[in-house]
Amino acid sequence: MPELKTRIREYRARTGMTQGELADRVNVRRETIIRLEKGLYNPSLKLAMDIAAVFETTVETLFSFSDDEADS
Amino acid sequence: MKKPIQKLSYRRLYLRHALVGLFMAAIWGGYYALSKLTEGSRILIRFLVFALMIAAVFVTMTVFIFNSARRDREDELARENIAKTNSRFISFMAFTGFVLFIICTCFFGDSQKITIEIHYAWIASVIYLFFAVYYFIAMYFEAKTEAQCAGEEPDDA
Repeated sequence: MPELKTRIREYRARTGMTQGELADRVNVRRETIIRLEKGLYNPSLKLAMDIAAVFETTVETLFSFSDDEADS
Repeated sequence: MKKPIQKLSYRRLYLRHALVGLFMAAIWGGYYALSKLTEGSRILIRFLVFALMIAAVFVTMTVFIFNSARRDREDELARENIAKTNSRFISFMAFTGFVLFIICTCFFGDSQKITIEIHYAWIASVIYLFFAVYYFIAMYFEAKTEAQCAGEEPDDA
């Protein structure tokens, strides 16, 4: 089972954004962001794109699966 | 500009709903029991139940309306937990029905008749009990979510 890996925490640290602020920006609650960062939750395409838009990057940059890294 | 989402613990919200369900179930259960025990004072009991029901409905509606306004309906995690709750609740209902069926077939043989007195009070009580069960299940999933998020600092940047 491929594991979801995200770089949300890294991007948040870069922009100095808190989990709560990001949650407000993408209209979810903080728990959703926490679980995303821990790789415990697979987001919908809409949420993934919304988060990518906040950090002005692409979905592929933010999210990856552990198998993808092994392949590349 | 969109209004920022107000923080709300779903676990607490569901606990409130479950407690309201238990309260209503207790009222109707109590009404049924009292009406069986005290034949003479039915008018008083009915008045008490009526007053309690009005109070409970008022409290329930107030809690539901205020909390509904504060709920984040766009949140995917909450929707996922609601889907899990629905699934578990359906399983619970099916299991309960199956257990009742087994009890009836085991304790009341084919040759015996089962007489069940259907009283609106205990039907109402059972409905509210199921309502409470639903929200206790929902609370369980939200408690799990909160436990997984424990240890994260509120301003973790």
